[in-house]
Amino acid sequence: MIEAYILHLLIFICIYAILSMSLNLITGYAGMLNLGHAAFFGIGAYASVLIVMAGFPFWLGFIAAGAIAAFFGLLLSVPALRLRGDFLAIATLAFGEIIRSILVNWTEFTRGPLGIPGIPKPEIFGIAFDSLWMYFILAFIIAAVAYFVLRHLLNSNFGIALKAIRENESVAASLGKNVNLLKMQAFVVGAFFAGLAGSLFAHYITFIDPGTFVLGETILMLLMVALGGMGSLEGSILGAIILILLPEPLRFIGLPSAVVGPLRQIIYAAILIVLVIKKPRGLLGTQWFGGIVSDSN
Amino acid sequence: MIAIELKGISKKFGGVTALDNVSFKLEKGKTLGLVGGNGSGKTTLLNSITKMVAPDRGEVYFKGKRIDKLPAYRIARLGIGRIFQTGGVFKNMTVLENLLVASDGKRENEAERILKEVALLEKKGKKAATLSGGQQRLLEFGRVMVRNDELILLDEPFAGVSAENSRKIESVIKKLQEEGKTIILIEHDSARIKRLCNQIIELEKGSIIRRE
Amino acid sequence: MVLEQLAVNGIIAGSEYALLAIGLTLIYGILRLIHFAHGEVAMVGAYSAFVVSVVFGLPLIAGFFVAIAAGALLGIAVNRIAFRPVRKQHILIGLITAIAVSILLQNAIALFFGNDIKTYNLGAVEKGIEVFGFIITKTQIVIVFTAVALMLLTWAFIKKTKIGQQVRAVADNRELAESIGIDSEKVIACTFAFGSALAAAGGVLIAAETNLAPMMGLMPNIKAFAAIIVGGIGSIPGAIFGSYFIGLAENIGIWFLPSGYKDAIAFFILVIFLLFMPTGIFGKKKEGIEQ
Repeated sequence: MIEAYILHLLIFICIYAILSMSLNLITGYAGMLNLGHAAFFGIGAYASVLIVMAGFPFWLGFIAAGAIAAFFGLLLSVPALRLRGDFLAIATLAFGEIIRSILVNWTEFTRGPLGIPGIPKPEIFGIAFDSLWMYFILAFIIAAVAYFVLRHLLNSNFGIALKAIRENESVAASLGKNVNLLKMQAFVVGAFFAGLAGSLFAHYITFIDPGTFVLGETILMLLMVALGGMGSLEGSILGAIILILLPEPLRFIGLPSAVVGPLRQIIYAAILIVLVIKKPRGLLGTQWFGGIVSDSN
Repeated sequence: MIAIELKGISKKFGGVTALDNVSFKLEKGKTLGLVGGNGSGKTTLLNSITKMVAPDRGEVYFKGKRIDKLPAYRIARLGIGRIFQTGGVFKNMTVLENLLVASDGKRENEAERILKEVALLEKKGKKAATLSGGQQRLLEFGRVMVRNDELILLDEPFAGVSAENSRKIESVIKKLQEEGKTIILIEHDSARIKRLCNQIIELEKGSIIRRE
Repeated sequence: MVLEQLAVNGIIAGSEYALLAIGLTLIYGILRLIHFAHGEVAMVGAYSAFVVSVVFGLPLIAGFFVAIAAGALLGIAVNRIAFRPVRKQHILIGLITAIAVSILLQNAIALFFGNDIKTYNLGAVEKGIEVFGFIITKTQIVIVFTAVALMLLTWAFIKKTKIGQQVRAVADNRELAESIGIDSEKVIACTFAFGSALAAAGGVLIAAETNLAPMMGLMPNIKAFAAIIVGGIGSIPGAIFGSYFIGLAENIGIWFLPSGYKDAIAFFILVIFLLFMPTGIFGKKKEGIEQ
């Protein structure tokens, strides 16, 4: 019982670590506040589920989840090239809401608000990941691969160039950096990993509905990034661990669920405000959005 | 060979004329001094070359090739580098990262060699924000060297810099000149202009009023 | 006929959005800050009126005025606690604290009143009356007239009062305004108070037409934001025009699309305007937009 509970939390930590790392790439490293990240997560979940439930193997659904989310990342990078700062943030928010609206209304495909139940557990080349232990191993491997791929990318010229455009776009351009292309790449790669996390989530929970992939979910990911530190992959993992575990004690003190839900959100929001005001670098990170500047210069 | 040529560059901001029909040529390996009062259009002139502002009219040629239609990063990749009046370093990145970001794939030891040349080697792991104004300027020179730019635009590189760092900067400029780099230098100190420049252009209200 | 009825619904929705949009555009104008929690200020206003009229049994009109006062105070408090400390930081930091305040208020209300839907008990379901051939309820008529009255009040506040003048001065150039002796922090606080009072009034009107829920402010606020982008950010007439534009577009849009896409229409317009016409219809300045 205890073992199952702990494994469940560990699986969630793996999934959310992928989400927060991928959001950190876009928001922490490239400096674009993305309020639509949950949409990539949802697109990945639905893509994978619909493909697998149409009879295709899990690995195909999993890869497609990433690829289709990446395609939407490419779409969303179009506003990212034209808009700055807060306007881009609102555009990403609108994107997230449009995707949610489609998931709710395109009932032939998604069953709308009823959601999709009975999602099969994954099976890869004959190995069934149907126990908690097996699923944890799968989630851990994918999270670890995501970490090493992102670490490698960020240690390369790509990572340094992203930091540079976050700091100062025009100086970066004067050094020959193609700012637009870099932003696009950050969105595509970030969305890809969020899509993979969506697949991993859907086949674990075995039920998805549009209500899971909402703004509140993006805010949780953003909080993980902020707590761990903008521009720190390791910080994002730490943020995911802390924020998945933090509300758990609330379960044990016997509060009714109508209280636990809002209380959890209040705790998250309060941490976010205190963090932003008192410790803007997070636990391991660097200055937010290229530091203290009064405008978009 | 002509390194850079401007033909009839004009730029207005709102109703204010920043540049009015500015034309000049600069041969490869020469240094042009750009002088004039505040608001005379010197920085806008550099910005028009690197496309940080798009001129309203006129053409820019680099080594005979027209470049004013290219985006800023493509112009930079042709080998045009610049040093900014303010805010030219990435303050939250380390000194080494500030060089690596300019170098696309160059090795760290190459970057370290250049840090040594600009006397910043012992600062390599420090954030650029911790450097003094003059050291930040030297770091920008380091970036230009890493990129091996052919045309280097310097916007008041000595402004607010200590005497010691000014000497270092001047020797770096001389070294770049010996390597045959083409330079445009904005500078107020006329003695320094005389020491460093082969040609001088004076701007007033966006127009050239004197050529030497 | 159905189409005309949808247009009437659009005007009612537009009146509600306008009350949020005015405060949003004033605050953006002065701070370059998207007040993401502005919808929650409206929601708290609606719940204040609920306490007065349903819990204490006073008439809703009393609740309406209490809501306006509560909204003004909440606006000042939100500015003081969440925005002033991050004033000198990057604009996105302000947006993040605004989102956090929004979540905080939603869940604080959910904790006290529950997540379920509440109403003002305005009696049995009103029967619509026919005005020039359109079906419209008395509540809806009151909503439109109240909204228009508050818009006129806003115009008087901005154009005729000293503080209104100072608001315009600070929005135009804060340093300059300070150099001639204007206390910009005081002006900012007044802007929050005024805009939040309007939002709270809007919240009561929305709740009177539909119902109350902790999440009730989120969508109207995003639509109000779409409205100020359409009308040109920073412009009050633009905000009002944009609100009716969005209200009409989403209500007439469901003539062509499944009604479930009503919200998506506003978001779609928002994205299109951000991308292709970021200065809006009446806007002059390019704010936050790459040149």
